Amino acid sequence: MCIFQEERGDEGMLRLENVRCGYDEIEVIKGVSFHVNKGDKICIIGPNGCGKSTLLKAIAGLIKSDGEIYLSGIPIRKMKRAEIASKIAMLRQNETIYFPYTVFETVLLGRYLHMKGGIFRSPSKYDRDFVLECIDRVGLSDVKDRQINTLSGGQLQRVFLAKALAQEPDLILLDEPTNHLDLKYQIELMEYLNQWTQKDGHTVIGVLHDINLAMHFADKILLLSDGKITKYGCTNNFVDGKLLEQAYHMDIKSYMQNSLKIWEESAVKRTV
Amino acid sequence: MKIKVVFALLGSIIICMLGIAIGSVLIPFNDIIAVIGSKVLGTAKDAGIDKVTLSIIWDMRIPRVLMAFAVGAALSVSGAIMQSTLKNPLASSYTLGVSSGAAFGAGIVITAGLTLPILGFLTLPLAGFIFGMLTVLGAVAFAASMDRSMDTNTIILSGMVFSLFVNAMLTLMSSLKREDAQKLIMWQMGSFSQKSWVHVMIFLPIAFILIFFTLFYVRELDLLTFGEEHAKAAGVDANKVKWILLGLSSALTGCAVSFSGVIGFVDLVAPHVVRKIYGSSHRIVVPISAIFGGCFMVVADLIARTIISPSELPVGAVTALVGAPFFGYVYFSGRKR
Amino acid sequence: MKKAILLIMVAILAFGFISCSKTDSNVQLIEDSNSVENSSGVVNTKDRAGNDIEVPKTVDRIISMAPSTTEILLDLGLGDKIVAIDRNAKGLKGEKGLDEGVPEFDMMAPDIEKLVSLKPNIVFTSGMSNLEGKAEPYKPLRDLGVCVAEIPTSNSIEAIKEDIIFIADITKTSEKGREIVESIDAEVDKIARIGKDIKEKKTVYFEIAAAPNMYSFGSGVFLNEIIELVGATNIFKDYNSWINVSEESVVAANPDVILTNVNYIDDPVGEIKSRKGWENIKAVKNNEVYYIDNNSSNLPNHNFVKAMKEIAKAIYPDKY
Repeated sequence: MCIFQEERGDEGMLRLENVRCGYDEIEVIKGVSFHVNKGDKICIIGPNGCGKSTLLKAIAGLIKSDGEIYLSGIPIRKMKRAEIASKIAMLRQNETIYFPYTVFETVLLGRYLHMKGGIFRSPSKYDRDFVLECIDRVGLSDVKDRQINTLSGGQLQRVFLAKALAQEPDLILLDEPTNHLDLKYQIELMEYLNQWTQKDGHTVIGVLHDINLAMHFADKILLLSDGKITKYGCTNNFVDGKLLEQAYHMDIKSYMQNSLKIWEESAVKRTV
Repeated sequence: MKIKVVFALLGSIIICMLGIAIGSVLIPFNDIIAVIGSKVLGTAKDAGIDKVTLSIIWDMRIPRVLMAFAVGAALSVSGAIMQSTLKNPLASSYTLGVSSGAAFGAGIVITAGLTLPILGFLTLPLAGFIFGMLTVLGAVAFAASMDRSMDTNTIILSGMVFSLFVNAMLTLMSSLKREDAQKLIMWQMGSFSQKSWVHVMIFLPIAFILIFFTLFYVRELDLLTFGEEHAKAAGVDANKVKWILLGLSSALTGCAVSFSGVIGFVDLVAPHVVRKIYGSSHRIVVPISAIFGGCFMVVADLIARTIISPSELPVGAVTALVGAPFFGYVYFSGRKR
Repeated sequence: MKKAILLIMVAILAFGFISCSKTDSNVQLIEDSNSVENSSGVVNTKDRAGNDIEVPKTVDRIISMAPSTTEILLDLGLGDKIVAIDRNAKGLKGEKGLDEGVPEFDMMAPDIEKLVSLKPNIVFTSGMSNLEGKAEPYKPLRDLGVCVAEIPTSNSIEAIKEDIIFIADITKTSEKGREIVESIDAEVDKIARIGKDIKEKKTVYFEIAAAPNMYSFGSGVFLNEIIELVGATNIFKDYNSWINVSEESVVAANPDVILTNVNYIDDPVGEIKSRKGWENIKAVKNNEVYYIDNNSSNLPNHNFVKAMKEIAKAIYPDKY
């Protein structure tokens, strides 16, 4: 079910008001406002260079922005790094691994904020059990002591997903994590996230390159173009090819002929 | 894992004992223990040992071995910090110009023949330390002013520039005062000779405290190796932590260099070898690097002072000669695919 | 930017031309003086390093680039004929006929043009210590036709005597040279006679450079010869030439007497006695640490006799 009205007060997960941000004096996001409710699964799509990653980084507080971003009602410019991280976790494309940690060690680092044990920040039994659970949920239990540089791309992504889950956030941001992955892994990853959002209050905002995948996974779609929101709405409202055509500057509809048909059908089912 | 740690601890004690025992005079282990016992615990077991041997053990060998161990430990931990913070397996604590600065400070003291009151012989190490830290501070501040996000590459390049500049000034100074040039070169090459208990009493606690502080940041170090944004997303206040870590690393190296000259390779090799054997988690890597680096330095010093007896090689030469092939073996042996 | 580089290059070229022309005129001068003396009387011989040299008939403008040679020249009565000395010998100015205002040069990097402008008949150079070779700096002089006589550092008393004879012969003061050699022989005999009879030889450590990089020597050095003559034993006699020694090796050898000729720090004896771990060495415990005059123990010439006497007295005060 796609609820579009904004939840008021602290119930609202995330709210952006006229956010502008960019790099080195170049403005990439030119005034974006939208809201996210708890439990939403949102996908941001749009052509390259429209500012999707930049927007995510602004939400995560990794880059400075003008305008206001409210996380559960609190502006993030007033929040410390640790506070933000306790609510938001981020999943990105696989980065270069310089030093080989094991799967367990890597996921354990997701518990950074929670581990308080002494000068080594030793994990408590609860921390360890939670980490094992996260590893299990992404199906990597049998390789938990393997070094991550020996894993496949898909497995590595799942390790980072487990790490994000271990952080126990309310909101997970995805920045095109499925690029370069086999279709199988792409779908698997989205499935894991889907399961995660079933729990109360867990929200996902993902930037995906693949529109198919986006539409399959998300409740709401945010179409970004030239640093501004072209449209933001429930997935079934995006079946209209015209908007997509405008944003991508091409005849999307015929390209996605079959998919759109399926969406149309499932959209009908969903509204029922 | 526990076995490996115990092995490391035992190994380090044995190596230190060997370092004390071997030299121009071979001293049996029980003599060493007797001397330590009598000096530290007050037992009267050293009656049978002649005074000269006693001097050698207590006034020369033990302080020397302790100093070598402490310097090796400090340099290794410093290297480990640098490699993780700068996300570069080849990063060294000398990258930011600490050694150039320290050499320059030492150079000033040597050529000016300075000896400050009260400080006496400590003038040289202090000058080295101050100038080492100033160079690093300059490099990091410059990098920060150029690039607000303190990108790793900016820091490295800035360090190189400052390092080269200070080196040039050093060369100028040596060429203007050629009589002191040789003294300066000898100092730079690194040596543990003439290290007495005074040196140990000052350096050991400093090194210990700095390494202890590093242990508070082991998780941050882990996260930083995955990337700064990654670390930030996990909750690390990356900018602040980076400054602190760079500061710790530079302080460790700055102190070590100002006391014993520029000794390379340990800071590069030790952390890598430790990671290969013990894994990458800094919780283990930091303390074990200290132990391993300490042992490595004791062995290198042992070789330096026995191989062309009665003369001594500079320790820096030995660490490079031994370190390079050793590093190559450990690093590349596991890589055949 | 390009203009600046061009200007700099032109400036460099200009300087090059100027200095080149100066050299030309200097060569002119030498040829003039040579042509005056070129009748006969030029002596073809070999210097102490074995190089062939042509000594001009009249030797009245001497340059000495080695302090030990300067001292020899002064004692041969040639002080007034010296036109330039090495910087390290500046303490000798004003003595024994050496002009107060005589110019000094850095023996390691001499200003060749200036040297040549003084129109010397002969330039004495030394082999300096083992650490730095010095043949190269003087090659331009040889190429210009100036007589350069090299006297490498002598390692034995015999060699020192030969050096003195060589210098005396070249400067036509052979008579005085022989006098000096005879007096050396006399002094050495005096000491050797006593030294021969000493049965229980004391062990000696002779330091020539202080901490932290201490240097001493083994055999093949004239100081070692002196120690043996005096009837003592150098703890490092089994090694060769000048060596860098570690603290431990000295402490372990436990010498009876310690000598030092270090003169660049204030209290060399005190400094040795204050070294940690050295207090248990016999020499330190019995307060047998002495300073030996640096000049006479450092320079390989006839003045070593002074050092020899000091060394003898220091080691065996009751015998000498």
